[in-house]
Amino acid sequence: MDQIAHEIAANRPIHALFQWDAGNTHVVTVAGCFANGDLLVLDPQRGRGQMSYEFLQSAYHQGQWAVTYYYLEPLQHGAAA
Amino acid sequence: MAQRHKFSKSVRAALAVLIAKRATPAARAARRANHPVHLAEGFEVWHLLEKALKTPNARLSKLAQPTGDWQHLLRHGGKATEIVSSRRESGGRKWKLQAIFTSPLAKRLDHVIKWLDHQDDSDALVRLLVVPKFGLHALWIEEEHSDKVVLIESTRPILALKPDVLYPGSQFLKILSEEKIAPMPPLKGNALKISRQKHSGDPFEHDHLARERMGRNR
Repeated sequence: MDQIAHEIAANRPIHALFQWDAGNTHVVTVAGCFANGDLLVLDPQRGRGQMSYEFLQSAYHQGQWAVTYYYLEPLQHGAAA
Repeated sequence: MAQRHKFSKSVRAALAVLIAKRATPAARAARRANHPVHLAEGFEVWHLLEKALKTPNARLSKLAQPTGDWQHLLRHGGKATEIVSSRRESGGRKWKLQAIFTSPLAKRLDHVIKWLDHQDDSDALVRLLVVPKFGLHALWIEEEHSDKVVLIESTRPILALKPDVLYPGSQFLKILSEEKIAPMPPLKGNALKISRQKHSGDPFEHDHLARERMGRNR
């Protein structure tokens, strides 16, 4: 949690990859921290929300937060992805 | 519409306090404009996992699993824009709020609730059915001898499943069991990939690559 806050404080959102129990995966962006420890999550499926860290760790109780992508660098203009 | 779960006044009051502490910018703006924020319908969330789809002739109550989560719709200014996820704490008396999010799902759920109000006047119980394999949300009406299901939304389009149609449970299960998912193409991009080992609960567990990279960039 401290490291998430550290990244957010440095203006670097992180990406969380969820491994669903169903077998497939899903990626959300964690873009902010609230004073009570909740996280600001941008989820292409669910929308934009304030969620508890525990809820996110369990991938909304549908799996687990399996991989964290952080220290993300913006893509360079014109660079191939 | 069939029966939604009736929360007691004390539970509604407890949830309202938790929600007020985490009001979204839209809800705060509604309150400033003197538009009351209503804690509207709440549904118990059940999951239908992939292995359950292999026996499509059984009742949903035998195949789906309760998650312990509840989802509630928030309405303000005549619109439904937010979904609240809550859970009863282990002792059973207290509730905790897990998430509140502004979501297109709220609008779809609101539409389906209103549609169902005109279709079904039974006193059967309505639950929220989530099928993680398809990112599918549906309302499940459990009657004494049968199930009915109406689609709310599905992340993966299922052509055989139409919106605003009340499917018998067996037909709904048959459609899902016959649906094939094409494998996703591999992700591209420059995001740091961290070892996909079994996770211990700490999302930064496998951070050695990131640390090396951070060191290089300092």
